[in-house]
Amino acid sequence: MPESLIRVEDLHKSYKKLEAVKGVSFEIPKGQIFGLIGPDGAGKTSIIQCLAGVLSADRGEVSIAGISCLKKPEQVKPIIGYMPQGLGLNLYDNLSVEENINFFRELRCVPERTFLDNRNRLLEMTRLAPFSKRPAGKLSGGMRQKLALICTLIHLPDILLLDEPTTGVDPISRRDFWQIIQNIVSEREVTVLLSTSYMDEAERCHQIAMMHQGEFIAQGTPTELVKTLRGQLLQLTAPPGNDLLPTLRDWPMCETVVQIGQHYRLLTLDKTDDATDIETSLRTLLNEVVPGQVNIEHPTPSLEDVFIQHTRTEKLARPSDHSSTPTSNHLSDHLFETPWGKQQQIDCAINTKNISCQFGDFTAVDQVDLAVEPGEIFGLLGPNGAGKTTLIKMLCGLQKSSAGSAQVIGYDTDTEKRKLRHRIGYMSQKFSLYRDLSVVENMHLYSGLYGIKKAVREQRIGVLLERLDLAGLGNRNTLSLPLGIRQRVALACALIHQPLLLFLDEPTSGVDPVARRQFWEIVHALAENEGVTIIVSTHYMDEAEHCHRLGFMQQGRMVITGTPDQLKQQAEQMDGSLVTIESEQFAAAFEALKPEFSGAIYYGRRVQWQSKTPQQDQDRAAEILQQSGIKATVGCHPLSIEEAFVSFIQHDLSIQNQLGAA
Amino acid sequence: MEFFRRSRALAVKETRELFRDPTYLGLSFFIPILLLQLFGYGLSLDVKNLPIVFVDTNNSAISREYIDSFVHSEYFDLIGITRDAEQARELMQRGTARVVVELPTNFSRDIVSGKKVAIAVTIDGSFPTRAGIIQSYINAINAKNNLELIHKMAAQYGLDPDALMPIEMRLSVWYNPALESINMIIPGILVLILMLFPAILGALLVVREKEDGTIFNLYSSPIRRWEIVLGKAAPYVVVAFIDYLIIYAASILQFDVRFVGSFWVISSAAFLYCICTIGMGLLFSIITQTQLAAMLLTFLLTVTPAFSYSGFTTPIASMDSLGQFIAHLIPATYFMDIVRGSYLKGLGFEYYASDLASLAIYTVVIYTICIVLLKKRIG
Amino acid sequence: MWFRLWVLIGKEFRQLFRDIPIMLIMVWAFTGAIYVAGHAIDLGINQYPIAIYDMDKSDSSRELVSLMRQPYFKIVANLESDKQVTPFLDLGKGSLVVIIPPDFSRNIEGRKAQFQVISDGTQSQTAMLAISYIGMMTYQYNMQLLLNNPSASLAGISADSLPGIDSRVRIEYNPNMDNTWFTSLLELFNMITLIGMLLTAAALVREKLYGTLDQLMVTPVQPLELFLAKIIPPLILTMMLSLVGLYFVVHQIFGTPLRGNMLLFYGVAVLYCFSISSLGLIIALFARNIAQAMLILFMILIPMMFLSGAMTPPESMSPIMNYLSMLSPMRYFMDFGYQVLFKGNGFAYVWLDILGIVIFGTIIFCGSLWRFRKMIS
Repeated sequence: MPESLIRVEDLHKSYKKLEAVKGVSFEIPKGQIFGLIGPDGAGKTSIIQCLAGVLSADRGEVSIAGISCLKKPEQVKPIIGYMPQGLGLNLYDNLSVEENINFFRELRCVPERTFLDNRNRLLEMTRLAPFSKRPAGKLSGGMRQKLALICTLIHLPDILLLDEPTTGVDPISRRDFWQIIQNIVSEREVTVLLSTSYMDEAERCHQIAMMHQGEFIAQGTPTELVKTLRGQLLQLTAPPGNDLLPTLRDWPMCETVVQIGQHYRLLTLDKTDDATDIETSLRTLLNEVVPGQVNIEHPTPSLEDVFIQHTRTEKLARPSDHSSTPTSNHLSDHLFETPWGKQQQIDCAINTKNISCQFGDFTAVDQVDLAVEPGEIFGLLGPNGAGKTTLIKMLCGLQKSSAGSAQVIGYDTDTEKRKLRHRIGYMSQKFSLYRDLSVVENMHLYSGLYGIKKAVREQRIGVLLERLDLAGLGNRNTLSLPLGIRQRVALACALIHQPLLLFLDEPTSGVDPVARRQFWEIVHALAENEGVTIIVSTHYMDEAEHCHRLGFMQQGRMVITGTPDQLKQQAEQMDGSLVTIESEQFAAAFEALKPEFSGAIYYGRRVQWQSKTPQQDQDRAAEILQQSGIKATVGCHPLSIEEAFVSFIQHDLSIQNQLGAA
Repeated sequence: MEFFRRSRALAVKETRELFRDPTYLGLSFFIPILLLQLFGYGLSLDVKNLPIVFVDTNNSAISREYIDSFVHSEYFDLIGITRDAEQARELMQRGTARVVVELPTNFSRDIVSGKKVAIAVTIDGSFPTRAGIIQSYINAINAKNNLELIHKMAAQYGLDPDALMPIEMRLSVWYNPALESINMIIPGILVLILMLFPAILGALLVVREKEDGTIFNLYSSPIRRWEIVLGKAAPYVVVAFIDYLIIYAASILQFDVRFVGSFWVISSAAFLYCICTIGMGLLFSIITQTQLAAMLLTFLLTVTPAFSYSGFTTPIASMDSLGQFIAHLIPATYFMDIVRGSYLKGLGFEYYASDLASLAIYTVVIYTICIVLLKKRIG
Repeated sequence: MWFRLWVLIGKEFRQLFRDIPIMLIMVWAFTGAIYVAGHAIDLGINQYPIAIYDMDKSDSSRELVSLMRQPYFKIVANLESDKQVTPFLDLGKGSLVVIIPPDFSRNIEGRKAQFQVISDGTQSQTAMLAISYIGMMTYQYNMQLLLNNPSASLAGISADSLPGIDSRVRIEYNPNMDNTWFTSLLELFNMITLIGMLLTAAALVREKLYGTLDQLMVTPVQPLELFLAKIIPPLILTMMLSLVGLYFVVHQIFGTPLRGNMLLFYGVAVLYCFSISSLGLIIALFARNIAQAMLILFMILIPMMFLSGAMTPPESMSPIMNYLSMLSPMRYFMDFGYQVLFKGNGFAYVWLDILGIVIFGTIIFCGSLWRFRKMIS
């Protein structure tokens, strides 16, 4: 057992009445990556801040390399690198990339030689070198976050403390980000403690701990944790046009079920281990409701499934917790007594013709043509700075288009803004609520702005609070609420006037998986029961599967639109299917394979690349791994949305580069 | 030398941010210079060109002569002569006239017959200071007129006119012989500007990083608390000192203010004072959580006190004990003494020792409080 | 429209009241700060610190000294030698020295006596006043001596038959020339200006930064409603607090008479606060962050305060400054305020000031609305 570098014993911390951390203990050996996952407000940030020596604790001991972070915080600071939560929040916007790096270098007194080597390598890895003169304020979110990481790493810290470092960052930047972390861990044996809301990132950690309400509810290696999943995981695929959700919810064996596009992911109660037994009873049940054949698979459980099970049982164990029982027929009802208004009159919820938006010589949105049907959930995906937010702002009339025109629910966005505003809802990236007002006060404000009468208002607020699991929180200050709850409050505010069209700009950024699933259930229900059209932008690729159709954006252009399956197929035709290597020694496997397969990357605990000759690659890989003595499972997987996205974006980039070169 | 390096890094960062943001530059240099120009040209405190109205129901050569004695002084601007007292009152009510002088109908007759004449003078007291000055002007003009009358009378009686008024006041004005207000205003403004602007700029230094979230960079790094204070304050001390040099140069080259002291004495005091005022801003920045609160606090706790209590226009010795107490609570008081002394009195270094010592102690106290209250932790 | 406005105003009020430090600072601004400002003895002459160096020590010299009495002068030292004079003035222990030579009383008999006054000219204005007061006292003393003079009585000159112009001075509006009246009101006006502008600007910039402004602009809220809602709550709060400041500090503690029509005063104060808050709005629209908003605000506020006419009335400004000051709404309000509160003037006297405030307010408010409309589309 290697020596523990970080040691936390019985840590307690409370803010006024709120107990944020309740007796947490753990150890991290040198050179390991330790992941903290859990809903917002679980106490992750408090633990990281205590380790960074910027937060005092009430009780317990926190030490790094034997030095107490609580008693002698100044002694640990030279060897740590701390990155606070938020997109590049530690950067100075007026300073250029280079100046920011220099500032951190001087602050940490890094010697010239180490600095230059380190800086050049980091700039190269993050591909930020060409932008070294650009002010940090003008970088996109992904670039900012990479720069923030460089600044945190510039003094070659032995310990890295990263608080949600990739929240709100696009998949491509996220890959760069992890590449750097994995490199420094393998080269310099850096110890990393990070918190994340992405489960694929959690899978890459050596150890993870799931937190809930200030306590660790599970801890271990990702593989160990996945094994703790009780019950069976089933994936059901029904023919289109069937809603299995109510039936599955009512099934007594069901513990959780979630709809992901066409598929249903079902976890059974932990009663029996007899797989066939359960499958047969499920088939019998489904044959009564669904005419066609339902395909049942047994997917490998993921950390996310474990996480959801754990937090759910946690919640069930506390009867006082209201959010535990979303009753089955609950979401299929209409939300309000007043009907949601008729959408039938409109053929097209959104119809844009070549709309563009120009800021100086920068084109934020470049001739986008987009048609969205009423009741559709349309997902916008793209790297940070691709123009998603600007496009959404243009569609809701917040930003004037410099060319082209857009019709939204039948109104022109430039000339009929006023009428449009009564019928749309908007929820922005930052969940822009008034932090100093309570939940109900925020809702009162928005209902007031739409001129909703008091009686109706009270009724609607009551319904929304109950349906969005906010009951009992009405008088809480929004600032004191965890992000996941704030997000639902923001949604409630955007729904109070029954909008026909809902714009959600990164609505789940930084929100934990359970809250995200809950959120998407509501979104689905809105689209299906009320016929609300939903435009959503996101960086969570698994969420993209929830959408009816997707649009990939890059540099202001709409690269392609289509259903998730269409896009995956097209990408597979372009770049081939996915070869995956799953191994306990995935880092070693990666090193071994990298020389041969240049496209190889980490994803979770596996190494993968796309290949047009998958069979050949699999054989070659197996050979190499065998030679290196690494035990691994070599396989071939269909593409996920994430790979499809990366394929399209990289293709587009290379086309642009060729055009640029020519 | 690590401490120097870290503080320097912070100082370089602050300087860059200062130069990238036009509003910082504007408040650092443009507005102080603008204020100096405003005061240099036209915002004088001299009480001159006072609008005066006469109610002359006598309307004789003697009354005219009397009125002329006002018009010929440089202090009054004749608005009009009227017979209607009501009309004159009205003019004062409107603010068109600041002084109304009513001459009685028998003015010339009584003067000629050597009797006492009572005239009614009404002064607008809205600006009390100015009212006092106006009163003294009128008294002086009357005294001069009276003296002439007495001389005439003495001649009539065959008396020695000089012997009638045996006591003579011999006046010498030191330091500012011509009593020019510019010699008072420009040095005073120097003190005020160097109080106000450094404090405002200093007040944003820490609280802005708190609101932006960048403060964690400093909290989580090995930089010591005093290094933070040093790095943050240093660039702005330089800025404030450059302001001082500009104002100093302008006062001498542009406004011809008398300067008899030692440049080195006033400069070293100014340097200390700049450090001190930046430190005050920094302190407000450390104890507040929002930039709005920091700014309000700075304004309330520096501008008004510095203006009224520093001895800009009134000697501190004339204040009551509470006033003197407040006066000694603000660094401007000590610096004002040194500036006045250097510009106009030209004394040796030893005269300023106690003021310099007070400033130094003040500065040390401010920075000690800053360092103690600046916690590198939250919660 | 009214309903939405009402809702928005309610929200602004809640936010204002929850910021405890700001509320405390505001209460201080309208009470403590006014008290501190009014307490200082500004300009004028009162308790002017002087020293007496009486070498004569006769009845006549004591008579002369006794004339220099409170409240104008305060004798802080009696000097005993020549050497003490210079340090007394150099160190600023006092500002004026009266030196009475040893032969003073003898010379009075001989009809030719001098005494010397040395004045510290650094604070030129007060120095000038002090000198003129001493001049007046000398004149009075001479008159006394004249009437006591045997040859004068021989010639039949008496106090009644002495020719002379005797001015009966009446100081209108502020009979005791109490500076507190003036400075406490000035500080009140300054505070209305400062707080009105700062609160509005800060509230709007904050919405811009936190993204709530976008959120509001997708609702049917109109820019006009938003702006009115931003202006009205700070305005009401400022007016309430200024009422406290005016009645309790300015009126009760300092005894300043409030002669004018309070409805007129507060009516126009509301207009003024509206104008000044609009200025806050436009600053917030141009600023990219809170720091910038604060700095721009001070860049405007500080020159405005100095050009308000409180330091130098318009008639004493140079023509350029006078024109410049016409751009400052504070100038009109200052003039208006003193006219109404001190002089008790009615609308007929101050309509020009009101017009100035209204014109300024309208231009700024419409300008900020126009700018905002341009920004969001």
